Amino acid sequence: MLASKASAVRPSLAFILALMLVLPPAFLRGNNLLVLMLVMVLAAAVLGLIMPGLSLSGVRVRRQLPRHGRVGEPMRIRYQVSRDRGHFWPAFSVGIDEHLDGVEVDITQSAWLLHVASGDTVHGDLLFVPKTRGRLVLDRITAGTSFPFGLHRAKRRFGPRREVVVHPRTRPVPASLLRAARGAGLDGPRSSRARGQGDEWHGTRPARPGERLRDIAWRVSAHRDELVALERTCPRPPRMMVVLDLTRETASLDEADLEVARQLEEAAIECAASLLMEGHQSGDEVGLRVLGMEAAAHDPRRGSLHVDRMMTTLALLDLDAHRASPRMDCGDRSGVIVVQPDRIRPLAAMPGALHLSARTWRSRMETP
Amino acid sequence: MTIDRVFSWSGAALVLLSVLGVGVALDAPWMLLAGGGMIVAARLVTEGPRGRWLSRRVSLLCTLGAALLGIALIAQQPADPLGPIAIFAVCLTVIKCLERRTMENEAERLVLSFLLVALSAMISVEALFGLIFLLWVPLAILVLLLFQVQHGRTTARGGSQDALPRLRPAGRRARKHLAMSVASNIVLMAGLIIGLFLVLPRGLTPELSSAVAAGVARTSAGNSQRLDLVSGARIISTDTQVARVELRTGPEPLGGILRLRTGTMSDYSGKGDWTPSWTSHLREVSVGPSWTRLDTLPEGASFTLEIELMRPLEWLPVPPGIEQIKVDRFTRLQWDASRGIVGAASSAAPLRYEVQAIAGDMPAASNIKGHWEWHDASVLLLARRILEEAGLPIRAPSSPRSRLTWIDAACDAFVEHLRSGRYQYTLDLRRVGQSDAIRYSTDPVTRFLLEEPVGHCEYFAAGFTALAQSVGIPARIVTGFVAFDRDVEGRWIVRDRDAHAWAEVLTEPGRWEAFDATPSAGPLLHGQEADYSFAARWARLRSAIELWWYGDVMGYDAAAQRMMGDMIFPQWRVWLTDAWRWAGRQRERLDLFFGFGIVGTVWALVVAALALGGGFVLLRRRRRRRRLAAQVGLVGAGRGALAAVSFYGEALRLLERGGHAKPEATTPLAWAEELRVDRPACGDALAWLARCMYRRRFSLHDNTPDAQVELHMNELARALGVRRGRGR
Repeated sequence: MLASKASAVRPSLAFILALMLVLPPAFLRGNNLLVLMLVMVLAAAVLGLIMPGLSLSGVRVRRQLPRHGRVGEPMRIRYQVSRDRGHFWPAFSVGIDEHLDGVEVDITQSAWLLHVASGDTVHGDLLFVPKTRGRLVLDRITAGTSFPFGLHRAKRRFGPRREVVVHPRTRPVPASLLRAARGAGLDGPRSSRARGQGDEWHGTRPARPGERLRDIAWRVSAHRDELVALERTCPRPPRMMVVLDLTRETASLDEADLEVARQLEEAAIECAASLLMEGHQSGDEVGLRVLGMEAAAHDPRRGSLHVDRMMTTLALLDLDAHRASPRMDCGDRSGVIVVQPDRIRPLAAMPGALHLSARTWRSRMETP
Repeated sequence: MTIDRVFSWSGAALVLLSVLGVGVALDAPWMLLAGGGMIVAARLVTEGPRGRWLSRRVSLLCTLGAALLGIALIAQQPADPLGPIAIFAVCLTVIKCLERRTMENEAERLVLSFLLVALSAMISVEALFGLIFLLWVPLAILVLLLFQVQHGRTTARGGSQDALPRLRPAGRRARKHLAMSVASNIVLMAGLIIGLFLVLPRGLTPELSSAVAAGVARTSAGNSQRLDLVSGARIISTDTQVARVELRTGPEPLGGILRLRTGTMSDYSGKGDWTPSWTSHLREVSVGPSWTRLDTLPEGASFTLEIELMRPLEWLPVPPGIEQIKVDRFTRLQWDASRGIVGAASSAAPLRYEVQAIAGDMPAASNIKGHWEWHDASVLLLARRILEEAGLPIRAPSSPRSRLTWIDAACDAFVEHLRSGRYQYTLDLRRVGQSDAIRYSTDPVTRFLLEEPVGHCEYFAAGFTALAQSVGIPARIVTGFVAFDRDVEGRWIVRDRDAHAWAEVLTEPGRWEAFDATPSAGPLLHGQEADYSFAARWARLRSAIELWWYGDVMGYDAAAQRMMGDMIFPQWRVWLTDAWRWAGRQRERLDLFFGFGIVGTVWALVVAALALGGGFVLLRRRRRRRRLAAQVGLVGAGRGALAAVSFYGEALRLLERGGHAKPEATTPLAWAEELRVDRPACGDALAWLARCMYRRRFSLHDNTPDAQVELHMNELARALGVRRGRGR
């Protein structure tokens, strides 16, 4: 795929031209020097047809995949290329092509290895930038070489088929927006039931050496005649629920151009992903609801895996699917941000929610 | 050194070498200086990140200018367009070198380099160009290999060469492998080139090797019955030994110089073509290990020579005045008494023989006849002028005694004239007679005597003979060898370079006197010591290389190919013919056996086809067994173990035919799971078969009947929509 784009050099065509140039005069002029040139071309053709196949014998390729990719960010797939022992000809200039499907990508570098000898294991990287979210299908690996003369490219295919989810693009969100979203919840800072370093009282325990004086429960200690320390609760971070409102079909959005409407929906997904990521990085508990589509509901929690799951949910949203009627349960103790594609239509079920439209988001992101 | 740097340097060297080839082919040193200089300068200017190069537009304009120049040159010389095309190609190469360094431009430079060498090969077959070509081939292979590496890397980086890091093989092992790969590819290519060059069919056109003939000729003066003075070739000779001669009995020849004759020519048919006299007559004689008398000569001091030939010759070198001969085996020779030469068929030529001869000049037959007149008036005028300058009458005196004296004096005058320094001795005649004014109009002998006094010994001998014949003196050209070099045992060593031509004049009845008009420019001809200086050695080495190039490489034609075939497989033609006849006889016997038309032949053909088909099927089965063994990890296992899991191989083939080939790196059960998503029946059947295969493969408890395996195989085939049976 990349090779055809990158180069206009056609060695096989050059060989045929050379043959056509030398063949007639070699026989018609009776000149052995031209015969020598002709046999040189023929010998190169013979070797060029045989050697690439020999070089690739015993080569095995395996992928080392990342957990996921992200739109707009470079993604690397590493190939582990090993060669069985007992093959005399080392392989040179081995290119590894991957048939990618499902997601638009912009390949910046395909994997290429200078040298794979018998018994060696070497690595090559495929670098690309996904342009759309979704499920990136890695259909098959093709390892090929045209060394030594480029006349024929020997190829070997390797499997198996694999998939990687490409998450939506995330952008930095203004801090004011997050602050506003936090304020939209019913409560402010809370404490959890777990022990921690907060201010609320959780219980007592026997004091340990090195305990801070202010943590000693003096009265209880006097009462029990032993040093007792106070235990405090863990402060609980603010909660934020991102509600992606995709209840309206693409065609029924306030946008005449269907393509622009679809771009607005994608921008809404991007906005939701950015909010989730920014909230996670700020230490908030974040959750996700997708209204109008069959998608998993994620309650507010913390953790990378939780964020990955939400991103995967966003990545796999099929905008061509049928839109279902929304279920409006998003918890009552969270700051809610509702993201809608075209324009803000306040949801009756979420009176205190902060509403954002993808159009606003897009214009804001495009403003330098 | 990095691969980039080696590629860059070797690519530049390749282009430079091809321009050098064009310069040599066109004999244009200015092209080498201008083109080569431009290429070197271009390499320096375009190198590095601060390099400068021609823009596309300027490059196109320059190409247009070069094309116009080429067209103008072709218009000037429409008969010979190759030179202008080569000049245009050189200009194009220089422009390409001045362009930006991209892989496309590198490839175009490679193609242009090939084009330049091909054009040069069409123009010239010079040994020097051959040397350049032999250097160009391995360099071109190296550049091609490195180009593949560079091209692969650049393609992997999206075609951009900018900001690429230096490419260096990682570690000593990789460097060693790369060097080994380059070397082995060059060796393999060389082997293939030599092999293909030797076996590629020749003789498709009668002009094969005509280019060689136009460029150079081997020494033929030593063993030929014709002289051709129009070839315009360069005579090359080597130190190769032709014969060893030992004086058995009798006096030493004068000055220790031995003259051996192989032919005489006295009739001139014009256009530089000399032939033997029409009166000459070859007589067949049988000779053997005892003396055979060839001629009866007057009494005189005789001597005996033992001559050992190093290679068979068509005409045996013999001294003048030969009387008797004996050879090492019985054979038939041809004897011409009037010319004093002995011929032999090359295949049965004796390699050792002895001759007895009369010392002194060549005796002449009494009834000698010949064609002693020269019809060119200008040569006659020159001869008369020489005679006048020598104070001799321009016509022969009438009295026989005075006539003999006059002939002697006239011949000496002619020799003096030819050796006067006005005439130049050279073996390189490629430029002789090439002037437009004299190219097609003048006779070569007249040209040599009057217009362009440059030539080798044959020209001098022919000039002397022409002068002598023009004033009515019976004269003829003699070809043969003049040997003076001896080995430690005192034997004369006759070499290829000792080939010579001189003249004989019938100075008195019954006596041919030798006259050698060749000046001392042929240093070895006149008794001087052999030159062992560096220059002389280098000249001899060059001659040897040229002889190899022109004779063995350029002159390799259909005849040489047949000879080589006979040498390597002496009986191949016989074997081939015998095999063909044997097959024909067997076919006839079979037809007779069946007694009805060609039924026997048909039967034999059917049996042969069945045998071939059976062999093919067996081979295919063996391949499949090996493949299955590799797939299930039973390499080296017995046939029984493989037969137990052979159904799995068939299942894999069914999957392949059904468009669901199992990827190599996927386990059968995992693949069955994947298949289940779209084709549940297919996945189920494959999973069952895979489990069964595992049980049998690892010798677990398995009492699955084969019928059940067959049932699942049928089910898999049905689910895949393919038919079982083919390749089962």
